[in-house]
Amino acid sequence: MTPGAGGELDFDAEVSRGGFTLRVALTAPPGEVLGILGPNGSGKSTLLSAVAGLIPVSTGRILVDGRVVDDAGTGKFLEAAQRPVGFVFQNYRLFPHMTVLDNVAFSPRVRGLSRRESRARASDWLQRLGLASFADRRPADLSGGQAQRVALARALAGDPALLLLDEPLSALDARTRLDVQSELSHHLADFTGPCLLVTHDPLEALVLADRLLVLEEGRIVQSGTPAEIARRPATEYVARLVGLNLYGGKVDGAEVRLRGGGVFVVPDHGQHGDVLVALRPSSVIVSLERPDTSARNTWPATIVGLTPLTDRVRIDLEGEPSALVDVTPAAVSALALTSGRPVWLSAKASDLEVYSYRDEPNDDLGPLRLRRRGRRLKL
Amino acid sequence: METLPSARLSTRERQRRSIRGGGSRSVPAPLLAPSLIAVLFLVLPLIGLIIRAPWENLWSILRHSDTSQALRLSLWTSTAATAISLVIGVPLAWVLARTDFPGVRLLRALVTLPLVLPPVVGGVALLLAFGRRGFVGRYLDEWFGITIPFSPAAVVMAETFVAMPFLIVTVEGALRSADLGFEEAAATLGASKMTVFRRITVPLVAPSLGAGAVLCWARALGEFGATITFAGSFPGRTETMPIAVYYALESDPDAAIVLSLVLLLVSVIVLVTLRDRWLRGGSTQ
Repeated sequence: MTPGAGGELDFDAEVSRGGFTLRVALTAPPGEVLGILGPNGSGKSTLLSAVAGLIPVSTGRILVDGRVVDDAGTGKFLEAAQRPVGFVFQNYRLFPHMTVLDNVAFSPRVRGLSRRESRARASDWLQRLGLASFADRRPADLSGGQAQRVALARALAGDPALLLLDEPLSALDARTRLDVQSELSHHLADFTGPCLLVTHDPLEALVLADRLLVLEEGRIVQSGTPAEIARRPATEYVARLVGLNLYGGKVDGAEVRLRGGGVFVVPDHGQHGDVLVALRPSSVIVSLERPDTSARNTWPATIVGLTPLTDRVRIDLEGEPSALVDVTPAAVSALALTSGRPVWLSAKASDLEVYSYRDEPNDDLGPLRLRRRGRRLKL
Repeated sequence: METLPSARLSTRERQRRSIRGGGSRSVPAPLLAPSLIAVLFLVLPLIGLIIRAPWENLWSILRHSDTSQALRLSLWTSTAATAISLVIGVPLAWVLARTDFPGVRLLRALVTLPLVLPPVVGGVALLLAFGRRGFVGRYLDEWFGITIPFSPAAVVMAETFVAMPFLIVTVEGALRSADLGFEEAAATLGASKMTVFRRITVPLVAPSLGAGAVLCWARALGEFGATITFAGSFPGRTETMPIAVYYALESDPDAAIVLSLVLLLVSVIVLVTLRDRWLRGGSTQ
C-alpha cells in the first residue's frame, strides 16, 4: 500500500442497505478532520463502512488519493484489505487473543513486514501514544481509555492514507472522555491524511473536527465549521444538539412571521423571504406580569414542563411561539414557576439570530425540513 | 377472615432462598420416583463394571499382548481420524457457516447425516464405495494396487466417517455465533481472507475447536459398527478396543472388563475436559 503521505478523499456515491439509502457527496483534503454528526440511523457508520470497503456503493464512486477504490459504474472495487485506510471501530474490536503489541503489529505484519520489523514498528507506535508499558497486556486488561489509544495505534501502525473513527469516545465514561478527547485531538493533528470522525456527541464534534457535516436520514443537511453550525443550525436536530430554539418563518424587514404562529421583531437588515431564527434559551426572560421592558418581543406562554440541568432549570413553554427557556433554580422558587402556570416571555431583538438557509445540498429535502421547523423543540 | 395455612421454612432453606432468590426447590413426588429409577438405571451398570473388575491382576491383563495391541491400535487410529477431521472438517465447517450458495442446506444435511445414521450402515456404504469391487475401490485396486478394506487405513476411514460430523457441527456452530467484527477489523488492517481465517477466526473459536476435537476423538475411540463392517477384526491390524471387548467377553471376560474400564476412564476424562460446555446446564452452548 502507499504510505500515508495522505491524499484527498473524494466520495460521491449512494449506498443502499436494506430499505435505507445513504446519498452523500463529500471531499476531505489531507490533514482535515471532518466530523460526521448525526442521530442514530442517519447513515454515519454506513458511510465509514463504504469508505473502508466493508460495503460496496450501489451507485457513484469513491476515490482515495486520486485512485478509484470503488466505482459502481465500472465495477471496480478494492477489497477492504487493499485500501489504505485505518479504521478505529466504536468498540475498538481489539483482538482478544493477542497482546497489545501483537494487536498493533498485526497490520504491518500482514502487509509484508517481518515479525521483528512489525513488532519494532508497533513498539514505536505504543511509545508514541504513551502505551509502552501495556505492550504485553491483553485487551481485556485495559481500561476504556487505554483500549481506545491501542485501537488508534493499531490503525495508525498500518500507515494508512486515510483515517476513519467511528464514535471513538462513546465507549468511555464521562470523566475519562475529556482526557482522551484532548489527547485524541493532539494525535489527529499529527495525522497528515484526511480523517473522518463519526459522532453523535456535538461537543466531541466541536472539539475534534475542523469541519462538520450533519447527516440525517442518509442525507447531508448541513456542513460548515463547528462554530457556524452551532450558531446557525439548519435543522431541529442540530438546534437541539447545541441547545437552541429554532424557528422557521418569513421575514419582511424587521418582522418575522413564524410558521408555527407568532411574530418576532428582529434587527432590520432589509431581508425578505424564508429564514430561520435561532434563540438561546438563556436569552429569554420570564416574568409573571406583562413586562415593561426595552425588549422588543414579549408574548404570553404557559409552562408545560421543567427540567433541572446542572446549574439551571430548563423550562418548556407553550405559546406563540413555544420556547425553551433557561433560568436559575433561585428564579424558579422566587417566581413559584410550576407546570401549568401562565407567564410572560421577553427577548431582545438583538438576541435573535436571523439567517436564511439556502445552502441545502439536497434540494428535495428543503421544503420538507422547513415545514417541520416551526414546532417547539423538545429536549 | 380466612386463616392462612400454617407452614414453616427451615433456616437453611431461608438462607438459600434469600441468597439465590426464587421459590421452593423441593421436587414433587410424581417426578421424584421416575428420576431415581433413571439414575439407578444409568449408574448401576457402571457400578457392576467396577465391582466385577479383576483389580489384582489389572496390570498384567493390560500388559497382555492382545489387549495392549488393541489399545495401541485404537489410540493411534482415533488420533489419526481426529487429525484428518481437523484438516478437512474445519475448512468445511467454515464453508458451511460463512458461504451461501444454492444447495448449502442440502450439503449441511448430508454432512451431518452420519450423526444419525446407524454406524453399520456407514460401514456397508464405505465397503460399497471403497471395497475391492466398490465403484471407487475397484479403480484404486486396478490402477494403484491399493486395497483399503480390512486394513488399519480402513479403521481410520470408518472412524473418520462416523466422528468427523461431531467436529464439523461443533465448529460450524461456533463460527456462526462468532463476532464478525473482529474479522472486519482484520480486513481493514490489510489481512487477506486466508490470514483472517488463520490468525483471527481459528484462534477465536479455539475453545469450540478443542471441544469438537475431543468429542470427535472420543467418538472415534468408541466406534464399533462401521469399523467391524468395513475393516473387520484382525487382532493387531484392525481389532480396535470396542471390538476386542466384544470378542473377549466370550473368551476372556476379565480382559473385556479391563478394556471396558479403560474406555470408561477415557470417557470420564473427556467429560472432565468438556465440563464447562456440558455440565454447567442448559444456558451454555
